[in-house]
Amino acid sequence: MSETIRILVCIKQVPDPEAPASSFRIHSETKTITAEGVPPVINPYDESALELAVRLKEANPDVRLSAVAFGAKLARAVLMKSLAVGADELYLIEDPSVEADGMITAHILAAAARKIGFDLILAGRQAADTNAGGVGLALAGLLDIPAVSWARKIELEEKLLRVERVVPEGCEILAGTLPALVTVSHEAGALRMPNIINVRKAKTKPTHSWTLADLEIGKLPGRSVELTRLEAPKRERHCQVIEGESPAETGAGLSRKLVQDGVLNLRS
Amino acid sequence: MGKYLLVFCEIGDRGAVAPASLEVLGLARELSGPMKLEVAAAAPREISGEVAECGPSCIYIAPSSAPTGYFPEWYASFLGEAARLTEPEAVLFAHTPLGQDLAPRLAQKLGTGLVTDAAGIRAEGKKLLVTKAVYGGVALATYSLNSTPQIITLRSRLGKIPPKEPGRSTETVEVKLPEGGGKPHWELVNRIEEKSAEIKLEEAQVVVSGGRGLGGPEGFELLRELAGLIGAAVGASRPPCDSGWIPSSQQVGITGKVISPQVYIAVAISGASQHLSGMGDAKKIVAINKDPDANIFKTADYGAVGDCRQILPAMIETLEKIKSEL
Ligand SMILES: Cc1cc2nc3c(=O)[nH]c(=O)nc-3n(C[C@H](O)[C@H](O)[C@H](O)COP(=O)(O)OP(=O)(O)OC[C@H]3O[C@@H](n4cnc5c(N)ncnc54)[C@H](O)[C@@H]3O)c2cc1C
Ligand SMILES: Nc1ncnc2c1ncn2[C@@H]1O[C@H](COP(=O)(O)O)[C@@H](O)[C@H]1O
Repeated sequence: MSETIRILVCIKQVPDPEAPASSFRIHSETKTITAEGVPPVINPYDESALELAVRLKEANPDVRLSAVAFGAKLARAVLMKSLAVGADELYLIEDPSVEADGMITAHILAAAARKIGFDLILAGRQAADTNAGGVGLALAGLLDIPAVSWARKIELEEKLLRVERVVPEGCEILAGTLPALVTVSHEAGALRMPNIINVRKAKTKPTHSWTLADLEIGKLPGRSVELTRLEAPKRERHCQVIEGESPAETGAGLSRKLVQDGVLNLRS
Repeated sequence: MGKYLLVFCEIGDRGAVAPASLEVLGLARELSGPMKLEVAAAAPREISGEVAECGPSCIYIAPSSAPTGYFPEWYASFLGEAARLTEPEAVLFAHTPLGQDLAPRLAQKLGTGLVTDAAGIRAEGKKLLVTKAVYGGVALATYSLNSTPQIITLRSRLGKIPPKEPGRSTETVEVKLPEGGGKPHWELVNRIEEKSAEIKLEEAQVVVSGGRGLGGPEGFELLRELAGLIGAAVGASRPPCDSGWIPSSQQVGITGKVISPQVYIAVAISGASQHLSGMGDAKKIVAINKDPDANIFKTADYGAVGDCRQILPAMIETLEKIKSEL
């Protein structure tokens, strides 16, 4: 009989990043952002991480797959998608009292990971809201396990891990042992759609609701990153639209205009 | 009280100091005056001579050459020691893949805060105020860091590459890695190149990018023809990369390359904030899109509305004609 391999995927709830920019309202006075009518989703990179984890589970029946999310207020229905695509259990850590930055989040996830148990932890390469890319690697450091970033493919053979890691001009294939943490990049591909039967099945799988009091967390570090200003980017430019009787004429007109204005230089 | 701004200098793809690191050195130099600090550099041994010529007060060098392969633990251990020795107010990285991999590890090691992907930075006393895109570029946030050292990764082109002073020598400190420090964990089994033959995006003055609206890899053939004519690099929004029409190395945007060329031509790209936040600083932006209400036109200096399959050939033909008459 072989041992169970415990995989833990960190999933963060974020406002749907594919929603049109116009649905986000920025309030500079309160330094907050509201997303009118934008539904929460699982961070897309974390969905890719889930996809890789589900593939590992399919290839290896000894995998036990858990998902963990931390947040002030979590939307159960959204995060239960992890169960519907194949996770065995879901941990929701809710605490509206902490205003967490990346390092605090990493501490909370580390405490949760210790309590849940893990051989392999997957995180997204970055969250679509913070655009930070810090929590995964910091979590590995706190747990004192090796980490590799930006995976697009993971294979597992016993306790041997093979990771295809995205680099600027291609990929590197790395081998290492468990325990380890891997951050996943979007090149891993999108998460499969859950089918209706599995959505129903998800409701019967265990969902554990924890608060910070349930974790042996000790003292959390203070906030080290403070938001001092929030504003909308200024990107508006005045656009000179080139008109033409036909698309071909428009194209010709655009070329002439760009050369005339010195935007394109054909001499060099 | 710290005395230094510590800059991590990495090896670029030609074996010399990465230009992005030199820019950070230049930026640190600008910041150091008002902050009343000196610039220290941490660099692998093989580039320390070149780094010295770029003006830091001192250099902390690694005990051996940088191992080839994927050795973030080695680098993090080296930087941890360099930071312990220098007690810097801040550690600055270029926002390269290596910088993004090391900065969080170092921040955790030192128990301090981190801001990545800075698009702007200024000093207020010894505190750095760092501006960056959040929510996929929908908003710009400014952060201050309450713990030292302040760890920051910086987008390219924030600083100017400092002039080299050939032969300049500077105080050099050899860093010893702690016992067992930086023992490599990951064995490099293979490296697969998926290079695109085009001009490098980061270095190009002119970039022509295609989006989902190009419809397939054939669409990029037309773009390459245009690019060849005007000496441009070819880029893309994310969907063409995800669909394999063009290698992912050519992706422009918040999770691709962040570039600020003189001219950016966006063809059949709608202008999602994640894309704009990777090219919005281009000097001139030209948009071609069949939808007159496409968001990209709001950020463009020149626009053409119509089907790119007809506009592009006409553009190419006209440019060829103009070129032949020069
Ligand atoms: C976390 C996260 C990170 C992301 N990072 C990036 C990133 O780094 N870079 C990036 O680009 N995207 C990124 N995205 C995706 C981004 O949100 C958009 O989905 C993407 O940029 C849209 O690409 P597009 O404009 O090519 O496609 P679409 O939005 O589908 O637009 C296609 C455009 O082509 C036009 N068109 C169609 N046919 C023609 C024709 N024949 N002639 C002329 N015009 C035509 C249409 O009018 C439309 O405007 C990210 C998304 C997320 C969630
Ligand atoms: N609150 C959270 N709950 C669960 N996972 C998180 C949380 N915050 C961050 N993560 C994980 O850490 C990754 C990087 O987040 P960040 O450092 O904020 O960009 C995300 O993709 C998630 O996998």
